[in-house]
Amino acid sequence: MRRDALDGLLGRGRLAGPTRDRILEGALRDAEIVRPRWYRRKILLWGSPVLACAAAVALFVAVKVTPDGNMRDMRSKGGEPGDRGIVSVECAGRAAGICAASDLILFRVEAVARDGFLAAYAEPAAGGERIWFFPRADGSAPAVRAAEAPQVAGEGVIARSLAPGRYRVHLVVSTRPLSKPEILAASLAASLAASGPDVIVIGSAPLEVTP
Amino acid sequence: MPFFRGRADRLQAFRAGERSVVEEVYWSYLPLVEKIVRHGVRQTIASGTSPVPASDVADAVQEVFARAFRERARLAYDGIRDYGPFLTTIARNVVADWGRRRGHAVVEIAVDLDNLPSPMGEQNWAEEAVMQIVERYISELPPELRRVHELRYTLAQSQNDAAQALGVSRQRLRTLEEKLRRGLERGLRRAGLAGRVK
Repeated sequence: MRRDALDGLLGRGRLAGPTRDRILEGALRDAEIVRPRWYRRKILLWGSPVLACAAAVALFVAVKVTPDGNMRDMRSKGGEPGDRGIVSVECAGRAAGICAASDLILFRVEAVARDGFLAAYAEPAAGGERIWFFPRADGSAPAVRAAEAPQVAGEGVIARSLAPGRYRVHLVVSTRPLSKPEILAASLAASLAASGPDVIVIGSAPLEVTP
Repeated sequence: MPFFRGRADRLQAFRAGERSVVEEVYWSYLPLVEKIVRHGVRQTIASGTSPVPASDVADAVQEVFARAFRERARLAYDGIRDYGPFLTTIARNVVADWGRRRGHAVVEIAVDLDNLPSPMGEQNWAEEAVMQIVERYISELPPELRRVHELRYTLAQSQNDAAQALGVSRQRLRTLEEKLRRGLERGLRRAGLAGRVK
């Protein structure tokens, strides 16, 4: 269950102390008085209200050009009734699975039956170290709302964080933030049902980053 | 609330975006902004309107302060007038825009904010069955967690203030809060109500 929801109940509908703290941190970050946590990371994440606009363009393009095969690749494989979500990665104005170094990699989720958290990592096709996008260094992850309509995670990854080359990006949406071993276990599971009750969607997609 | 009156140093620090002063402004004016948000928007439902959920209140309050704390807004405040009316103007505009974007009904807020009741939680802050589980859980808390609940959830103190009052580190307080949450989550799951909490 989401921390916000539990805090709301414990506060009996008032803005509880933890909520007030989070509002303050969010306002300071949004007003650019403090830098967001991701600023210090090697992987450059990017998120702002503008992302919604970029995402809208990306969704339009992606829906038009994404081959059916790719969409099938990304669809969840089972799980609880209603868990039939789709996850994908894309860059605005590009064909599916292609991003230039200057692009912002967006994480799209749709038809998600339950609120959750997004986890994502990339594996170089040629082999090499796994690259984690989410969870962030502090273990937190972007929230995903239960919704039929497509939505884009509030943070993207600046593609130049990755060396040019081919990757497979793995995505997991779960009802609670998962640890990295749990995410790996979920993404390698043969089916959603086998990946645990907290997992809502699993999927993977090829990604090529061009110079 | 003459927060800046006679305090040129404080005004200068605020305008420069010094975090400690900005935080003081936040804690001083949070009740005012929460009041404006709670009274300014209503959720449209089949039978009319109802208060917006607490999570929406939090979102709107954050948006107000984010707007007020941006450099342009900080520099636009002259320090001569009280900060309250200045912030109120920002809050009214943000809340109206925000409410319309969310599809909420935007309510005209009385000019005299002092006549509005203080921002309290709603009477029906959850489904009846959920409220019963929460109340029972809180009433059965061991002393340490009960004190944490009182400071952080009833009195809504900041993490710093609550940690100081409890004589524990902030990390320890975070651990205790997480314990509180997980306990409630277990109770709701046992009652089969976890899925009804948004």
